[in-house]
Amino acid sequence: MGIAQHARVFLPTVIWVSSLFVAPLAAAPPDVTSLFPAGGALGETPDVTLTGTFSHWPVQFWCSNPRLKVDCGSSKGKLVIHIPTDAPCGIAWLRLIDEEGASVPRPFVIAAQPSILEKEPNDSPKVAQQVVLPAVVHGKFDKNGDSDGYRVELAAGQTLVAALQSNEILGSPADGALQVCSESGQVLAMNQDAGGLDSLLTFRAEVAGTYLVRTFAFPAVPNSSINFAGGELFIYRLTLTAGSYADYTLPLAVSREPTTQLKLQGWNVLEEKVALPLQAGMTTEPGFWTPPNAAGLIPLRTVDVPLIVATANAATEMGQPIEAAGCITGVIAKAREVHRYTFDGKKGTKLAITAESAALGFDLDPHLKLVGPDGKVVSEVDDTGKNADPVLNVTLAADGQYKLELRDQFRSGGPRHVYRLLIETPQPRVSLGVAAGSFLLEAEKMLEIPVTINRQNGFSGEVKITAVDLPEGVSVIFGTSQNKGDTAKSVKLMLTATAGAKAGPIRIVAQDSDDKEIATATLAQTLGGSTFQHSNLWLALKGAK
Amino acid sequence: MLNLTARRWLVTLLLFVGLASSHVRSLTADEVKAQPKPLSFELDVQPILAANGCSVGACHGKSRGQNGFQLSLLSFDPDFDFAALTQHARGRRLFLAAPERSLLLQKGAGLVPHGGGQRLDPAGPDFETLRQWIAAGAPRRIADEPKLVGVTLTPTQVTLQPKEKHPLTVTATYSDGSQRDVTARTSFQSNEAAIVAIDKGGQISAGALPGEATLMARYMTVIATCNVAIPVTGNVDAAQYAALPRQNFIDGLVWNKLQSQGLLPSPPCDDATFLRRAHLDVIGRLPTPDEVRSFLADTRSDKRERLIDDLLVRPEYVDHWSGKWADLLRPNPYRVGIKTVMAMDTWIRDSFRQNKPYDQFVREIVTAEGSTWKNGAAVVFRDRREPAELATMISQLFLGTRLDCAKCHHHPFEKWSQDDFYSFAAYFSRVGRKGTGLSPPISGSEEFIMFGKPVKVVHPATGQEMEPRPLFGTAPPIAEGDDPREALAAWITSDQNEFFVQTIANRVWAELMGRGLVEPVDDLRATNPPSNPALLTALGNHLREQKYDLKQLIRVICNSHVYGLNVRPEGSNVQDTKNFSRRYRTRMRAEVLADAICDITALPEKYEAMPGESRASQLWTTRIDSLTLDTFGRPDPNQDPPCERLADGAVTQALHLMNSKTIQGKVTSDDGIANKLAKSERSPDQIVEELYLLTYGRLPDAAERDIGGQVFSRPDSSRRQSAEDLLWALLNTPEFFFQR
Repeated sequence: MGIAQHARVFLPTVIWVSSLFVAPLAAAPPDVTSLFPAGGALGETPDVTLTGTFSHWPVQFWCSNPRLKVDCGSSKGKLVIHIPTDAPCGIAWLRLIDEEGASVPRPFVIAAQPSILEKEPNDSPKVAQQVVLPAVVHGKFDKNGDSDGYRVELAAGQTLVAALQSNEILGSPADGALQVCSESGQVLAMNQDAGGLDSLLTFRAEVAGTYLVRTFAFPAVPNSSINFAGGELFIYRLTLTAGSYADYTLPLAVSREPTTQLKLQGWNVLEEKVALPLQAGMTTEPGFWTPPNAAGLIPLRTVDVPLIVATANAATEMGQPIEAAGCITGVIAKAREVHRYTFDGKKGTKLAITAESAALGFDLDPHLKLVGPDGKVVSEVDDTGKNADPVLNVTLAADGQYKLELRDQFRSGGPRHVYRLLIETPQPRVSLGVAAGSFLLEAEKMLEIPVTINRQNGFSGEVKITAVDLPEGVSVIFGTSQNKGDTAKSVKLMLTATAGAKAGPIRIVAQDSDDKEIATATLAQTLGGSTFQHSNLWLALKGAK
Repeated sequence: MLNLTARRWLVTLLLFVGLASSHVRSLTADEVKAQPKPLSFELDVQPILAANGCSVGACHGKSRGQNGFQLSLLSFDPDFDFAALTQHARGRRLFLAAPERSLLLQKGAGLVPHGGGQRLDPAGPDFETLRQWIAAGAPRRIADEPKLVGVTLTPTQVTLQPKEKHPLTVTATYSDGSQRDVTARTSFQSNEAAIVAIDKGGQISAGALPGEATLMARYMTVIATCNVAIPVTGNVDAAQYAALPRQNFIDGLVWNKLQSQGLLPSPPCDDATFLRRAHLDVIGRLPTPDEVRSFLADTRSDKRERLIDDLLVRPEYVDHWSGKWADLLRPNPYRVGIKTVMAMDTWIRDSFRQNKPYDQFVREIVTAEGSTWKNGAAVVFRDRREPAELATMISQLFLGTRLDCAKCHHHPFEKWSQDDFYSFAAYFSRVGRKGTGLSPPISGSEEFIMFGKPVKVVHPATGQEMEPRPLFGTAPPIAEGDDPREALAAWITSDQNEFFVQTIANRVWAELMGRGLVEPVDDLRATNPPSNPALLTALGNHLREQKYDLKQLIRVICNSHVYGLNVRPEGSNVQDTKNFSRRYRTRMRAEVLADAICDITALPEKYEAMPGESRASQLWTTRIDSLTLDTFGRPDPNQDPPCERLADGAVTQALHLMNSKTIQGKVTSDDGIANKLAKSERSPDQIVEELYLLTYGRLPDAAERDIGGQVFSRPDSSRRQSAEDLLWALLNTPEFFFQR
């Protein structure tokens, strides 16, 4: 009798016996609503102020980037983060932990560019804050009506990149805008939205001199007030650089190979390709990558299909020939441009075609059209529900050459009309869901974690649902999900802890008969305009050290 | 070139020829009885109804008719009117067995009570014509009935002496070549009744003063015009005009017009006036004292041209000219959303920052697609959601053609019919939208404008679904799958579309010269002709030749001699208000004035929803509070665009300058210019000079220095009080808030 069968036999009994001792599912963890500053540079040791509710202090921390060291600060809601000079740049996820549990993860962004803290007053050109490039300004629209100005020096011919990060990733309630102005405040360039609600602005200085970068915000949830919005949570990171800023890569995905060659795209970036090693152990999707010696957070995805970059042929009537499965990266550079991809299809083949742009923070509103061998439109799609990024599912009706067309729904184009087009043959698979991201386990009690199972594309196998990466002293009674019956859609895990067990992150996974992980349960977290899927769930232990 | 006497003789000759050719005159009742002939409803009956006022808006022509009897407004719809007479009210309006007892005649002649009084003489020819028509069975048409094909006014141009009278004859021409004198059945109107009047019978009466007017004659569905000029009395030697400077094509065309009117231009303005004028016109801000001194000291002969070039590349140009277009395009944020309005404002400013060619600017609006948060041009289609609304806005803004009337009935002063209107509106039948629409007062959502599913545009009277058709000329065909707006944009911005270039040329001219060649600037039509047609044509052509570069148009206007004329009238041109024989004074635009006060006092204003020290010209919505801006004519935030501003002065403006706490605060602030100057080492005379340079952009003359010195020599007044008093006084003079 295997473990799974064993569990099947004893599980109902265990559940019944232990039901009187089952702890509440959701713990009452610390509640962190923002970190300020929401990041720091390599080699810096920023003092970070938290907002939220903390019934216990001091607290402990967990960080997805183990190179960071986090200490409690001198007073409640204050902490100090030590960022070593050789830490990887990008987003580190930080949880606060106390005996009640853990907070939801909050992003803390590590950059290579030095940090500057905003200093008020800086609302007008005369009192704008001086910034030496490159830099990341950590600021806050601290009250209604607030605007912040930064003075930068540019040489003739230099291109300034100003990137505001506030609603996206950081989850601030701000809908920020950026302006580059003359020293006296005459606006020379402005951007309100780049992709999501955050702003990205580039400005080429024709004349050397002092320029003003200004930022202000409306509320992300609109109201009727004719004024700028601000408040405690209206934090931002403002990257200012005349150096290298990477906006995306070609391709905009990585393979399962040990390394993927990526060509940086953006401003003042390297011509040579950069080799990116396969990122192992990523626990949050989407993952963002910051290239060495550059600014920017690039949304990368690991895929199992061939990586393809659009060529000039894609913009022709003939189109670019491809294999039916692939992950294509391209840019609709000009208005009315249409990219076409041709492939040979077999009757009965199922394809799932996903075009992404808005979700990646780019400007394209993709429109997909599949044309069959007979020249007739097989399927055409603009949005998927309220999502601007479409998904086209199709079963090919005949053998022959198919043409997949992708264009902007509004027939526009531009340097940030970037897309990632994933063409897959749907495989039978399973996905898992859990109701919370943090669980509290008390000694001498059993924790029950319901897991939902979603069987897709005809997945009919038996899978083991279990928890892995368990902290010391914690054990699990796994469950088995059959294709039919009560366990087909949900099972319950039972966790127990010994005295002296430790709290920590766990993962809940599905394993096949060879104990190979085939799915991981994730919990969605929405931060402003960004949605993250965390596979690291937190297991708190009452009284744990 | 003909002198005035010769021109009058020529006109008289033409008039004689015209009268000789109008071989049919109006008949008397006896003649009508004596010459019975088949009578046509359209050719004989309807003109009587129209001429006797039956179908005017105040009577049976209004939308619900009068006492149950409705005619088409101004008799533009014969089928409707025929049905109204013969079929509606169970046919009781006509009594075929006893025509004279018909209600139509009984009421019209006042033989039974009629709210409109007696309109027909029972013994007159109109009564007899109607009676005969009824007696003949009230036919809709007669055999081989011709069509009205045109109307000729004789003369079409006439030059009169003050108080002179002159007859006007109207001749209708029909499809069979026949003609009729229809003067008695024609309605007339003067666009300058005080200059030239015209009576019901077509008699022109010149007023006492020189000037010009256009007379409109409307007979049935056709309109014709006659231009009347009353030149200044006394001959001016042609050599005087020949000797006038010609810096570019504008000057010659203006001088030609002045010569035709017997006007001479004022002399050029001085350098300081030119500097201030150009600054205010091109970038909307005052020159600084240093700029004034530098310009006055500049001895180069081309310094005025250099100044214009320098101003056109300054960033203030963007905000100043964007503001004018913002008035025309920018909607109410409580209707379309706050962020949406800022997106449109940003798009407009960005367009001017790029110096986007005007044809591209218009194409981007007319064919706009995409997010109303990211593509400000698309906001027009969030604000205006119906094809009919879009038709009126687009035609008025970019073609100077007001179609509003034709939405409900045939345009009374133009050729536009409902057919024309709804065919034009059909160009917007494929405007689609996704996302969340309007939800006032927040309307905070993002909406997307796109090529959408067809929406039927239906003629309200006939129910016919209309196909896109331009107002005149031909437009590119619309291929399957194409957005009709593409064809519309191509037609609007076509090199052949004179209305397109002339409308914008007229707007720019008006901004720089104080009034348009056509006023109102968005109302170009035969019955409202330009004061100088040749000049408007030339300006439009120039813009087209310059690839629709608005800066080039501004440059050529500002570099003309005419632009630099003095504001003061000189002899003959005292009465001139539209021939540009002198500079016409205009009040500063609200934002220009508000910014000028800030610049002079060295104290910026604090506006909500704006970064610190923003200028009024940078405000992105008229909903940002400012009493000064409201007082000086900023558009009402509740008013829908397009909003044209009135440059009128008002008592409230004078009172505001005198009493505003904001302005008073700036004048008397510790940080203000008055206190700074008072605390400086400058002598009183130097302070006086600085304040004149700041407010007037010129040096004070001797008398002004003397008065200024007296202000500072008052025993009971400190230097600071003196500087404040003088500054306050200067801000309250017309020389400050008027552009000269």
